[in-house]
Amino acid sequence: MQRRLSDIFIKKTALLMLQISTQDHYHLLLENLEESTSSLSQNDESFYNSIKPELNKEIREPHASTIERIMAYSKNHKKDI
Amino acid sequence: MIFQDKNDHELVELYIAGKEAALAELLRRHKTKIYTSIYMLVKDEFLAEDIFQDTFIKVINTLKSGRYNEEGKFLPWVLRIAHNLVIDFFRKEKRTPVITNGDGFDIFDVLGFYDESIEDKMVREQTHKDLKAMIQLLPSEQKEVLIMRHYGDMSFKEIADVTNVSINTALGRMRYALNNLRKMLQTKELSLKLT
Repeated sequence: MQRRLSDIFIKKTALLMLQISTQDHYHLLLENLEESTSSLSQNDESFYNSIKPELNKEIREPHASTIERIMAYSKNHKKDI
Repeated sequence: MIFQDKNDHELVELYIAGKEAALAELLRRHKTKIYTSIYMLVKDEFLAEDIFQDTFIKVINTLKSGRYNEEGKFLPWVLRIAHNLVIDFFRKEKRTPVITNGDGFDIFDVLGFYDESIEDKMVREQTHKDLKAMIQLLPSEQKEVLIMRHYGDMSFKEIADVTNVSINTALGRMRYALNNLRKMLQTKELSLKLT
Protein backbone atom coordinates (compact mmCIF):
# COMPACT_ATOMS: atom_id res chain seq x y z
CA MET A 1 0.00 0.00 0.00
CA GLN A 2 2.72 2.42 1.01
CA ARG A 3 4.76 1.47 -2.02
CA ARG A 4 1.74 2.05 -4.24
CA LEU A 5 1.06 5.48 -2.74
CA SER A 6 4.73 6.26 -3.10
CA ASP A 7 4.61 5.26 -6.78
CA ILE A 8 1.54 7.42 -7.33
CA PHE A 9 3.22 10.33 -5.57
CA ILE A 10 6.37 9.96 -7.64
CA LYS A 11 4.41 9.75 -10.87
CA LYS A 12 2.32 12.82 -10.00
CA THR A 13 5.37 14.78 -9.00
CA ALA A 14 7.14 13.78 -12.21
CA LEU A 15 4.10 14.80 -14.22
CA LEU A 16 3.94 18.16 -12.44
CA MET A 17 7.64 18.79 -13.04
CA LEU A 18 7.22 17.89 -16.70
CA GLN A 19 4.21 20.21 -16.95
CA ILE A 20 6.09 23.09 -15.35
CA SER A 21 9.16 22.57 -17.48
CA THR A 22 7.02 22.27 -20.60
CA GLN A 23 5.16 25.46 -19.70
CA ASP A 24 8.43 27.29 -19.07
CA HIS A 25 9.80 26.00 -22.33
CA TYR A 26 6.61 26.90 -24.15
CA HIS A 27 6.62 30.35 -22.60
CA LEU A 28 10.23 30.94 -23.63
CA LEU A 29 9.50 29.63 -27.12
CA LEU A 30 6.50 31.93 -27.42
CA GLU A 31 8.50 34.96 -26.29
CA ASN A 32 11.22 34.20 -28.84
CA LEU A 33 8.60 33.56 -31.49
CA GLU A 34 7.01 36.95 -30.80
CA GLU A 35 10.38 38.64 -31.09
CA SER A 36 11.32 36.95 -34.35
CA THR A 37 7.93 37.35 -36.06
CA SER A 38 7.13 40.93 -35.08
CA SER A 39 7.48 42.12 -38.66
CA LEU A 40 5.88 41.61 -42.04
CA SER A 41 7.31 39.31 -44.72
CA GLN A 42 9.17 40.86 -47.62
CA ASN A 43 6.20 40.23 -49.92
CA ASP A 44 3.76 41.82 -47.52
CA GLU A 45 6.08 44.75 -46.94
CA SER A 46 6.50 45.23 -50.68
CA PHE A 47 2.75 45.19 -51.30
CA TYR A 48 2.14 47.54 -48.37
CA ASN A 49 4.70 49.99 -49.78
CA SER A 50 2.95 49.86 -53.16
CA ILE A 51 -0.39 50.93 -51.71
CA LYS A 52 0.96 53.55 -49.29
CA PRO A 53 0.50 56.45 -51.74
CA GLU A 54 -3.15 55.45 -52.10
CA LEU A 55 -3.62 55.14 -48.36
CA ASN A 56 -2.02 58.56 -47.89
CA LYS A 57 -4.70 60.12 -50.11
CA GLU A 58 -7.11 59.55 -47.21
CA ILE A 59 -5.18 61.69 -44.76
CA ARG A 60 -7.43 64.35 -43.28
CA GLU A 61 -7.13 67.36 -40.99
CA PRO A 62 -9.59 68.35 -38.27
CA HIS A 63 -11.32 71.66 -38.77
CA ALA A 64 -9.66 74.71 -37.21
CA SER A 65 -12.82 75.44 -35.21
CA THR A 66 -12.53 72.03 -33.51
CA ILE A 67 -9.01 72.85 -32.39
CA GLU A 68 -10.22 76.22 -31.11
CA ARG A 69 -12.99 74.57 -29.10
CA ILE A 70 -10.53 72.13 -27.56
CA MET A 71 -8.16 74.93 -26.56
CA ALA A 72 -11.08 76.97 -25.18
CA TYR A 73 -12.20 73.98 -23.11
CA SER A 74 -8.68 73.57 -21.78
CA LYS A 75 -8.37 77.24 -20.79
CA ASN A 76 -11.72 77.14 -19.01
CA HIS A 77 -11.00 73.87 -17.26
CA LYS A 78 -9.05 74.46 -14.11
CA LYS A 79 -6.42 72.02 -12.88
CA ASP A 80 -7.61 69.84 -9.99
CA ILE A 81 -5.63 70.49 -6.83
CA MET B 1 9.97 79.11 -24.80
CA ILE B 2 10.14 77.10 -28.03
CA PHE B 3 7.70 74.22 -27.66
CA GLN B 4 8.50 72.61 -30.98
CA ASP B 5 11.86 71.48 -29.60
CA LYS B 6 10.25 69.68 -26.68
CA ASN B 7 9.38 65.99 -26.81
CA ASP B 8 5.87 64.79 -25.98
CA HIS B 9 6.71 63.92 -22.38
CA GLU B 10 8.13 67.39 -21.78
CA LEU B 11 5.09 69.01 -23.39
CA VAL B 12 2.75 66.99 -21.18
CA GLU B 13 4.71 68.09 -18.12
CA LEU B 14 4.58 71.72 -19.22
CA TYR B 15 0.86 71.48 -19.88
CA ILE B 16 0.17 69.97 -16.47
CA ALA B 17 2.21 72.82 -15.01
CA GLY B 18 -0.15 75.27 -16.68
CA LYS B 19 1.34 76.04 -20.10
CA GLU B 20 -1.61 75.96 -22.50
CA ALA B 21 0.72 76.45 -25.47
CA ALA B 22 2.15 72.99 -24.75
CA LEU B 23 -1.26 71.47 -25.53
CA ALA B 24 -1.43 73.53 -28.70
CA GLU B 25 1.91 72.05 -29.77
CA LEU B 26 0.78 68.49 -28.95
CA LEU B 27 -2.33 69.10 -31.03
CA ARG B 28 -0.36 70.53 -33.90
CA ARG B 29 2.04 67.60 -33.82
CA HIS B 30 -0.46 64.75 -33.64
CA LYS B 31 -3.83 65.99 -34.88
CA THR B 32 -3.43 64.60 -38.39
CA LYS B 33 -2.68 61.05 -37.27
CA ILE B 34 -5.40 61.04 -34.63
CA TYR B 35 -8.07 62.63 -36.78
CA THR B 36 -7.33 60.50 -39.84
CA SER B 37 -7.39 57.31 -37.75
CA ILE B 38 -10.79 58.26 -36.38
CA TYR B 39 -12.08 59.30 -39.80
CA MET B 40 -10.98 56.05 -41.44
CA LEU B 41 -12.88 54.08 -38.81
CA VAL B 42 -16.12 56.06 -38.90
CA LYS B 43 -16.01 57.36 -42.50
CA ASP B 44 -17.93 60.51 -41.60
CA GLU B 45 -16.09 63.83 -41.27
CA PHE B 46 -18.58 65.44 -38.90
CA LEU B 47 -18.67 62.40 -36.64
CA ALA B 48 -14.87 62.23 -36.74
CA GLU B 49 -14.71 65.88 -35.63
CA ASP B 50 -16.99 65.12 -32.66
CA ILE B 51 -15.02 62.07 -31.60
CA PHE B 52 -11.73 63.93 -32.04
CA GLN B 53 -13.01 66.71 -29.79
CA ASP B 54 -14.33 64.25 -27.19
CA THR B 55 -10.98 62.46 -27.26
CA PHE B 56 -9.12 65.61 -26.33
CA ILE B 57 -11.64 66.57 -23.69
CA LYS B 58 -10.84 63.25 -22.03
CA VAL B 59 -7.12 63.92 -22.50
CA ILE B 60 -7.45 67.34 -20.88
CA ASN B 61 -9.53 66.01 -17.99
CA THR B 62 -7.04 63.21 -17.31
CA LEU B 63 -3.98 65.41 -17.50
CA LYS B 64 -5.41 68.17 -15.34
CA SER B 65 -6.65 65.75 -12.72
CA GLY B 66 -3.20 64.21 -12.37
CA ARG B 67 -4.31 60.75 -13.50
CA TYR B 68 -1.96 60.45 -16.50
CA ASN B 69 0.42 57.49 -16.45
CA GLU B 70 3.81 59.04 -17.04
CA GLU B 71 5.34 55.82 -18.28
CA GLY B 72 3.11 55.62 -21.33
CA LYS B 73 3.70 57.32 -24.68
CA PHE B 74 1.37 60.19 -25.40
CA LEU B 75 0.22 59.35 -28.95
CA PRO B 76 -0.67 55.67 -28.37
CA TRP B 77 -2.49 56.74 -25.21
CA VAL B 78 -4.57 59.30 -27.10
CA LEU B 79 -5.25 56.81 -29.91
CA ARG B 80 -6.45 54.29 -27.34
CA ILE B 81 -8.93 56.88 -26.02
CA ALA B 82 -10.07 57.65 -29.57
CA HIS B 83 -10.37 53.95 -30.39
CA ASN B 84 -12.53 53.32 -27.32
CA LEU B 85 -14.78 56.28 -28.16
CA VAL B 86 -15.28 54.90 -31.67
CA ILE B 87 -16.23 51.52 -30.22
CA ASP B 88 -18.63 53.22 -27.80
CA PHE B 89 -20.23 55.07 -30.70
CA PHE B 90 -20.79 51.92 -32.75
CA ARG B 91 -22.17 50.10 -29.74
CA LYS B 92 -24.72 52.86 -29.26
CA GLU B 93 -25.57 53.00 -32.92
CA LYS B 94 -25.48 49.20 -33.27
CA ARG B 95 -24.29 49.44 -36.78
CA THR B 96 -21.25 48.79 -38.86
CA PRO B 97 -19.58 51.47 -40.98
CA VAL B 98 -21.37 52.04 -44.27
CA ILE B 99 -19.31 51.84 -47.42
CA THR B 100 -19.57 55.08 -49.35
CA ASN B 101 -17.65 56.37 -52.28
CA GLY B 102 -19.23 59.78 -52.61
CA ASP B 103 -16.99 62.20 -50.76
CA GLY B 104 -14.77 63.40 -53.53
CA PHE B 105 -12.39 60.52 -54.28
CA ASP B 106 -10.93 61.22 -57.69
CA ILE B 107 -9.06 59.00 -60.16
CA PHE B 108 -5.38 59.91 -60.25
CA ASP B 109 -2.05 58.69 -61.41
CA VAL B 110 0.31 58.36 -58.47
CA LEU B 111 2.66 55.68 -59.75
CA GLY B 112 3.59 57.54 -62.89
CA PHE B 113 3.93 54.66 -65.35
CA TYR B 114 4.45 56.96 -68.33
CA ASP B 115 5.24 54.17 -70.77
CA GLU B 116 2.13 52.07 -70.11
CA SER B 117 -0.70 51.73 -72.62
CA ILE B 118 -3.95 53.67 -72.26
CA GLU B 119 -5.72 50.41 -71.47
CA ASP B 120 -3.23 49.48 -68.73
CA LYS B 121 -3.50 52.95 -67.25
CA MET B 122 -7.28 52.77 -67.12
CA VAL B 123 -7.14 49.35 -65.48
CA ARG B 124 -4.63 50.53 -62.88
CA GLU B 125 -6.56 53.72 -62.14
CA GLN B 126 -9.82 51.86 -61.66
CA THR B 127 -8.09 49.29 -59.49
CA HIS B 128 -6.59 51.87 -57.18
CA LYS B 129 -9.79 53.86 -56.99
CA ASP B 130 -11.40 50.83 -55.44
CA LEU B 131 -8.74 50.46 -52.73
CA LYS B 132 -10.55 52.91 -50.52
CA ALA B 133 -13.79 50.91 -50.79
CA MET B 134 -11.90 47.64 -50.36
CA ILE B 135 -10.45 48.78 -47.07
CA GLN B 136 -14.00 49.21 -45.78
CA LEU B 137 -14.77 45.65 -46.87
CA LEU B 138 -12.10 44.23 -44.57
CA PRO B 139 -13.23 42.60 -41.32
CA SER B 140 -13.27 45.25 -38.62
CA GLU B 141 -10.30 43.82 -36.70
CA GLN B 142 -8.12 43.82 -39.80
CA LYS B 143 -9.21 47.30 -40.87
CA GLU B 144 -8.52 48.55 -37.36
CA VAL B 145 -4.94 47.26 -37.35
CA LEU B 146 -4.26 48.64 -40.83
CA ILE B 147 -5.58 52.06 -39.82
CA MET B 148 -3.63 52.19 -36.56
CA ARG B 149 -0.46 51.01 -38.28
CA HIS B 150 -0.64 53.31 -41.27
CA TYR B 151 -2.45 56.43 -40.09
CA GLY B 152 -1.66 56.19 -36.38
CA ASP B 153 1.95 55.16 -37.06
CA MET B 154 1.74 52.72 -34.15
CA SER B 155 4.01 49.75 -33.57
CA PHE B 156 2.44 46.29 -33.45
CA LYS B 157 3.09 46.22 -29.72
CA GLU B 158 1.19 49.48 -29.25
CA ILE B 159 -1.65 48.19 -31.45
CA ALA B 160 -1.73 44.98 -29.42
CA ASP B 161 -1.97 46.98 -26.19
CA VAL B 162 -4.80 49.17 -27.47
CA THR B 163 -6.82 46.27 -28.89
CA ASN B 164 -6.03 43.91 -25.99
CA VAL B 165 -4.52 41.14 -28.11
CA SER B 166 -1.05 39.63 -28.42
CA ILE B 167 1.57 41.11 -30.72
CA ASN B 168 1.27 37.98 -32.86
CA THR B 169 -2.46 38.48 -33.24
CA ALA B 170 -2.03 42.14 -34.21
CA LEU B 171 0.64 41.20 -36.72
CA GLY B 172 -1.48 38.37 -38.06
CA ARG B 173 -4.41 40.70 -38.59
CA MET B 174 -2.19 43.09 -40.54
CA ARG B 175 -0.98 40.22 -42.72
CA TYR B 176 -4.54 39.09 -43.36
CA ALA B 177 -5.56 42.67 -44.15
CA LEU B 178 -2.80 43.04 -46.73
CA ASN B 179 -3.48 39.62 -48.17
CA ASN B 180 -7.19 40.35 -48.51
CA LEU B 181 -6.51 43.69 -50.14
CA ARG B 182 -4.08 42.09 -52.54
CA LYS B 183 -6.61 39.39 -53.50
CA MET B 184 -9.38 41.94 -53.99
CA LEU B 185 -7.15 44.11 -56.15
CA GLN B 186 -6.00 41.16 -58.23
CA THR B 187 -9.57 39.97 -58.72
CA LYS B 188 -10.71 43.43 -59.70
CA GLU B 189 -7.79 43.93 -62.09
CA LEU B 190 -8.43 40.56 -63.71
CA SER B 191 -12.14 41.25 -64.16
CA LEU B 192 -11.37 44.63 -65.74
CA LYS B 193 -8.92 43.10 -68.20
CA LEU B 194 -11.38 40.40 -69.20
CA THR B 195 -14.21 42.83 -69.97
